[in-house]
Amino acid sequence: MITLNNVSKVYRTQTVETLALNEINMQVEKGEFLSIMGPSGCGKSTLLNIMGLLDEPSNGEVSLDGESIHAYNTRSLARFRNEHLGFIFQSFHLINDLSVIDNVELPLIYRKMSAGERRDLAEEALVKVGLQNRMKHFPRQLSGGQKQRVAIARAIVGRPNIILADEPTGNLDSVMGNEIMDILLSLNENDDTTIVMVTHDESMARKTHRLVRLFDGQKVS
Amino acid sequence: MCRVAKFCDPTETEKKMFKNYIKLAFKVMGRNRFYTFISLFGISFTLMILMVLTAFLDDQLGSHAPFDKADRISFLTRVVQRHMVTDTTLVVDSTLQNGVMVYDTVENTNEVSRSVSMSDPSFKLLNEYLDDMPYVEKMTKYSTRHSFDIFLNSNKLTFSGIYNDATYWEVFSFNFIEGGPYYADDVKNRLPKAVISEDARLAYFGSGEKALGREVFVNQTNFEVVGVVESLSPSKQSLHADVYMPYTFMRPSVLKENSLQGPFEGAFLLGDASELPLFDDELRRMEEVIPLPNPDEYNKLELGSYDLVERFAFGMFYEEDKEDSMRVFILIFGGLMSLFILLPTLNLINVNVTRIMERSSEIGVRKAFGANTQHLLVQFLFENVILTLIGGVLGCLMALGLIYLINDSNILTDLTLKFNPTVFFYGFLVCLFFGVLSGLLPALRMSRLHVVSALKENAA
Repeated sequence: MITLNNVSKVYRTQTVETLALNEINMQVEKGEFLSIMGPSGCGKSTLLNIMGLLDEPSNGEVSLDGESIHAYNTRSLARFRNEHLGFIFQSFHLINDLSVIDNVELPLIYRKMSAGERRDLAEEALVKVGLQNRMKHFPRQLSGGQKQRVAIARAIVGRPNIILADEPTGNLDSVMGNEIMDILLSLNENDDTTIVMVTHDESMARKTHRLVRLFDGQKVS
Repeated sequence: MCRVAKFCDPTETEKKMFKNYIKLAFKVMGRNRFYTFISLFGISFTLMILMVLTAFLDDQLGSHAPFDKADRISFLTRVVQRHMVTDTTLVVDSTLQNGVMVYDTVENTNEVSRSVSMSDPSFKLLNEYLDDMPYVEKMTKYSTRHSFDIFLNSNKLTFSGIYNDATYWEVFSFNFIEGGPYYADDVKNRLPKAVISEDARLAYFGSGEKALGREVFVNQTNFEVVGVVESLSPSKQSLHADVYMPYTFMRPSVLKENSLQGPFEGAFLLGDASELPLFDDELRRMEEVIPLPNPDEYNKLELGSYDLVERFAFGMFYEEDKEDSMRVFILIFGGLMSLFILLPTLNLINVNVTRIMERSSEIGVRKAFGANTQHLLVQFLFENVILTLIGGVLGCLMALGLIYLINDSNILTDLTLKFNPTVFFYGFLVCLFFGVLSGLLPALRMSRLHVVSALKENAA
């Protein structure tokens, strides 16, 4: 589904050149739940951003379903992300000005869809994460776990093929973290959603199908 | 170049999308009430001040009664007499050449004004020298404002009065509520006829009384009221008075006075506005031709002609010459208007920039979930345009309210400000322009922000 061929990422400033990723080769299969682990600064998030088409590699190639994304322009990439990818961030990144349901509807705004259809899909997604009673609330009125569940609903509302989660339990206590993990596992099992998750938590990583370890920008296992 | 067909299809401008943007704009405004209030206040207050200020200027200087022919009128309001002398200065330059002192002398001659006398024109100047000027269709001469004490049933009234000729009523378009003006023959034959203002009618005859055919006693003469005109604001120089009478009722000495300076003013109605510069040239020519009554005292004449705006500026600030008056006028009104537009605009830009910076996380999220630069730009544009539209409607209502209050309270006597839709339209366009600009520039910058950086900036 996602194939990385010799992917490297170099960050350059005026004085320093940092190699964030060094010739990574990997493949994510359809329906797989993959976790990426490694110490801080080892390039986990960079790798996830490249897989999620949010960032471009300095070298190497990213292919989706066998098609190289090299040929896509910014607009096509945005459209691809909208239709095929869902994101979950450690710090939730909910829009405080919008209600829960409006936050969840956000990816659908950029599709040709009636307001009614959008609302139905958003409600459905909120039911999946157990927040059907919080639709009219605003992010400030929610706990950390609830915020992350809204973020999951937002990630799944567009029925993406792949969900990319960057430390989704990183800001949560263990109880809430487990709740979130259960939701992700059930999405993977029941809806056959491919999930790539970056985590620091070994116990969470052990629940996934496969674990990739990074160290200093290199894949070590 | 996009090479993958299924993702190259450009986004259609969808009606649904716009509906979303509008909805979102209202949501954003509703959630950030303080920011919304500041922005709306800025826009509506600017428009209100702009409207009231222009309504005032329009009332004073617009092409409507009594000045509906103003673009063709040149006012002669200033006569300057100077005593010019030739001033000679001798410059001696000394240099030592081969042990001999050599002197080089240069004589500089300048015309210098020794003394100066400035005043209004006299009856004689207007009547004898300027009553048959080229390009002039009609010329009127009228006195500066006089003040009369009138005793009526043991009450003292103070009336302001203007003595004029019959052409006055043709050059300026007064609104007659009763009757009409007096005519050239009435003036020539010294018939005691007068036109009074609506306010004067109320003061002299009482509420609800008609004045036509009745008499007013002014300056020891009983005048028959032949017309009543709508009262004008005192700021309407040359025109505002309680009573208008034929100039033949002035003291004969004033009319016979030999001086070129006196208590009069002239207004020349030209055939066409484009002839104003030519008329000015003619006046310059007349300055050379008109004999000065006492050349030993003053040997140079300057005739100051003004258009309506210059006349207004001159009457308001009374600077020594026309240019100085205009400079003060432009400085004050132009400065005020620029200030009232500029300050809220800068504030709006500042608020918008800060606000949009705070929204970098939102921009990052939207981009991650499929928004492209165009989506984001249109979204921010909608937010600003809707805000400006609401501000515009509020500004319009506030301006209408303030104009009503000013007219109703009579703070400015006999001044009737009118809401000018054209000015509102342009003022609104200016606000819209700055509203869009202030939103668009930061939005453009932010929408181009790399999605990873945008998400990092506000990772709270």
